[in-house]
Amino acid sequence: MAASDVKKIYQDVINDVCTAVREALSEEGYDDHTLQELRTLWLAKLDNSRALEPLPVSIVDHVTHREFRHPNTGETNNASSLNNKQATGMRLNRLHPASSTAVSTFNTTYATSATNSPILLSTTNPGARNYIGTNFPNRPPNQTNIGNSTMKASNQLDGANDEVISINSTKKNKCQKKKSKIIHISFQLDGTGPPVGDDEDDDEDSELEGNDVGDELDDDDDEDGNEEGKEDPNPLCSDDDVSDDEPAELFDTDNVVVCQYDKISRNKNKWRFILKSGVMNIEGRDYVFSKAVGDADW
Amino acid sequence: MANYQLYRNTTLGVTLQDTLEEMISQGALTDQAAGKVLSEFDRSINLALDKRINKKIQFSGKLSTYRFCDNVWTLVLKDFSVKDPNQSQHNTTAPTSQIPPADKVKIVACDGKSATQA
Repeated sequence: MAASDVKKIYQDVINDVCTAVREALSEEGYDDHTLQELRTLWLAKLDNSRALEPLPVSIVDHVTHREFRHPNTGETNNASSLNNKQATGMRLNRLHPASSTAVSTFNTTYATSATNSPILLSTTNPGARNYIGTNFPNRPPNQTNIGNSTMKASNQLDGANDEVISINSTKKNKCQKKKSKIIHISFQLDGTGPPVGDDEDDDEDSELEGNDVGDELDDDDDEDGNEEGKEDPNPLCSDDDVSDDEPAELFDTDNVVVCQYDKISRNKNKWRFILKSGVMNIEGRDYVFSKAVGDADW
Repeated sequence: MANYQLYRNTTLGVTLQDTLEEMISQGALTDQAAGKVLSEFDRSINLALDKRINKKIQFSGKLSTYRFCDNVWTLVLKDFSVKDPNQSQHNTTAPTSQIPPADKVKIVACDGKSATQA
């Protein structure tokens, strides 16, 4: 659908709303000036959203969008943080060449980036702005949480990795004072670290307790400690945290279709959707449909 | 026809809510008046989408995630692409008017047959 058609629908709705509420507002003592202000502001904000502008023809623009959106969708979670850093940096530089200094600062400390990002991102397209705007300001609170989710976030948003590790190390030191510093490092950076470290730790704890009470208890404690140590990798590592993170990440995207369904059916892994009355925001632009039929494999 | 509030999450709805919040903060509108405007927006956008457009599309993709809760479907499609049956393969319409493909799209859909409000 051409953008002009969407614009017409939107214009109709704006006119309808303003006409319909005129009486209600005048009953409450508002004059036409208020209604005019409402309409002007609404139109201005709609214009600023750029949702009705034609999509740039440039293929390069498409590619850049995709590069930028990958970290958001989590599809490149396993990619090195260096790659993400370069992609983000390039994107920001492209959008705002004069801010290269700010970008480098941004990559150095998250505290600085939190204050700089609104300025940098004010020049990006709405989709990109949404992405950064919703994620980056949330980072400082996230940093105070200890856990794999913090590490996961920092993988995407580099520059704070060192800091996160040091925070986690400090907490671990409080909890497990007997663990050596070398083991701490391996715990943070190596996936096979936790079971080894925890086994040792449990053994040390139980031995100390056992010495106070007796040899029999000592043996029991050792067994308990070992059993716990064997179970530890699952709860301590990724399982719980991943399940916490997944919903938000899975459903997180800037491309949103709001609509109603007539029928959604499935045959084995083949899904069919019959939708109606939809408003789509794809790559920052709005489109509408009266009916949409879709097929997808799960 | 249902009178859903879910279209408040569209660009048009979000910009209206921003406008109302701004006017409320300036003292130009009360919460009640803003509520009336929003209700009118719900009615108007539902009507406009139901009656005033005649646009059919076909889309395809890979269903990545789905959720059905409180009669609302939430679907996440990857490699989303739209085929517009109204436009022939060989027409000369500028590509800017076509819906671009997307790596990932979230579809939120209320029951089209239900008369209850979402």
